[in-house]
Amino acid sequence: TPPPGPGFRLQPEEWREQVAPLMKCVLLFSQQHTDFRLAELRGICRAHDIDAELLTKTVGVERAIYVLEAERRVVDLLLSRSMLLKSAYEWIEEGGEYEELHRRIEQRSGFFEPYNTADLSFSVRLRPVGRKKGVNALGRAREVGERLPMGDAPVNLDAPDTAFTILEEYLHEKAPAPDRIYFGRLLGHGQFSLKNDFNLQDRIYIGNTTMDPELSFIQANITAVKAADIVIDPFCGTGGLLIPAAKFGALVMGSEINYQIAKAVGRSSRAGVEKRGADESTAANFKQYGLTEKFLSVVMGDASRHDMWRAVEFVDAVVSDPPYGIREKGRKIGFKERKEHWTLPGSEHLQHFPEKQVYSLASVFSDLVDLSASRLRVGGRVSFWFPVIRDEYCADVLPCHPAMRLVENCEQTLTLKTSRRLLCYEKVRSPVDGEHTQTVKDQYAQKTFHSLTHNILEFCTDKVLHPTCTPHDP
Amino acid sequence: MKLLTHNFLSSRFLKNVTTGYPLKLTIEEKNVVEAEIDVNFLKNVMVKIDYAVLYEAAKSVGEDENLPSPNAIVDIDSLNEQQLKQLHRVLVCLDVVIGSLECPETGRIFPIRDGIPNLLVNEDEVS
Repeated sequence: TPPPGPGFRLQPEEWREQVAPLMKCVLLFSQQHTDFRLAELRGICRAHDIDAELLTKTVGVERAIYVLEAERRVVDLLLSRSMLLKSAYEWIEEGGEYEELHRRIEQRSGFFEPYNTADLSFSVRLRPVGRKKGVNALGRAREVGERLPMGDAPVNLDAPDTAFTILEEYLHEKAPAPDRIYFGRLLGHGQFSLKNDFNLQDRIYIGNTTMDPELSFIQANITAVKAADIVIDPFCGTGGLLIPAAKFGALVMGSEINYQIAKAVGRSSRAGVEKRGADESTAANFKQYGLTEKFLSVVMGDASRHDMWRAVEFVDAVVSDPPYGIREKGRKIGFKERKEHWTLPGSEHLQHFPEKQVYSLASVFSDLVDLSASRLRVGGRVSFWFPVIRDEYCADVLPCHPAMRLVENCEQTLTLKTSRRLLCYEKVRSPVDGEHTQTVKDQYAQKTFHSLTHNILEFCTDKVLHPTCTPHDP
Repeated sequence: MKLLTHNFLSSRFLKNVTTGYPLKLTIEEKNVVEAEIDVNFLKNVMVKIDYAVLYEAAKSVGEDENLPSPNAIVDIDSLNEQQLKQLHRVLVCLDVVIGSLECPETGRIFPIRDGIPNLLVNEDEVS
């Protein structure tokens, strides 16, 4: 590019682009769900064919702040999708204490040139990380602000064009001074606010097991969902996992075996509310969020019957939270063992409702992986929540399929003994005949997950397994 | 239920059914939700569907006028405005409220009510 002539001025963004295609950035992460942090970053990169290695080599889970070199477009992409990346800043300087930081900032006067004009306002803010109280936010911000060569630019604290930010990093809540101080220019915020925009209190239709919105968006990211994808949830319930996929531009479809849930009739899942209202439906949720055009349908159907889906590899992503049997029972269509009193002699029923039998937990998961292996396009992903008995957890309990590669495995602890893991598999090739999901060890063969979540039963189970144990044992 | 759903469903899970695709669509009541045309989006969706099946479904509900013919590969960039509008309408806007899907081999009817197709069958109908 030719050098700019007299009177020519690049806008700050262009100026940066040309001077530094790789930008040194400060990334600030949420301290929640840290086990999902890298998986989410990798998933977003996967959805947009971006190499995530540079990113994941630097970012870990121990700290909230990481400094790295990245392309601006990658940072913008992450900000546009991530729940766990709170904010990103262009790195200007950093130091162990304020004196050092002040000195370093004064040496960087060239950096501020493009922002120091009358038509661009600015502000200096302080953001403590790892500590809430006892921070001299105004004083520290003013001290730094006074040292900036920004004489021509007006100050605007509410809506500045350029938001300089001091990040005080406290590694311990009680530390007297920050462990490290970063100074940067705000590039943007992540999608943390989706958590509130999609909160369950205000959602028209929810079920007993509707996923927390934050985790449901994280799951869509890990599953690498993107615009115009075809996404299905074989256990869709009220559509809680499909909503984030639709928000990211995918076309979504789900199946649900429970007539009352699919039709939104019967008892409400809300405390203090008896019946589900006439306005409640899965479609109404999508309408509420302005996502009607992305919602293809709920299909009333049995998830174990894969052939309700056309037998080609048309699906880009599968997201699911299968019933564990805690608050929703796993059910599929099939003959039940009859009990004598069930059938009234000689009675003719006007309408026959399909009989349902118990759908064992292990086969729910292997079915789900089988379905994904057959219907996903190669490169497509499936993710689902997998309940785990922590003591017994090992790689052997995970479903495995020769055409599917486990790419993510993130744990959310539930109780001392149980947790659930978000497993994500990527399809590496089309399966050949006879290939099925296998699990080396069925962790649910002896106990049910349900029994483990109930203390009394849990104790009984323990007693059977460890006969010497009494309730008073430590 | 969008017409696209029809593109992805089959009745092969029924006893003695070998293909079960495409299902025969009948509409009693439909709904149109206006939405802005996104040509890029249409392009991306077109590569994921069986267009001939979509065309037939649109035809069976009287929405085939101005739809590009399924006999040649549909190139979105070469469509005129009317064709593009109609394609957008059947892919994105058209919603089936009441109707049915029929298994092409056994004639088993799956009703669509409140926009929800019911593919649940009795235990003696599946293999």
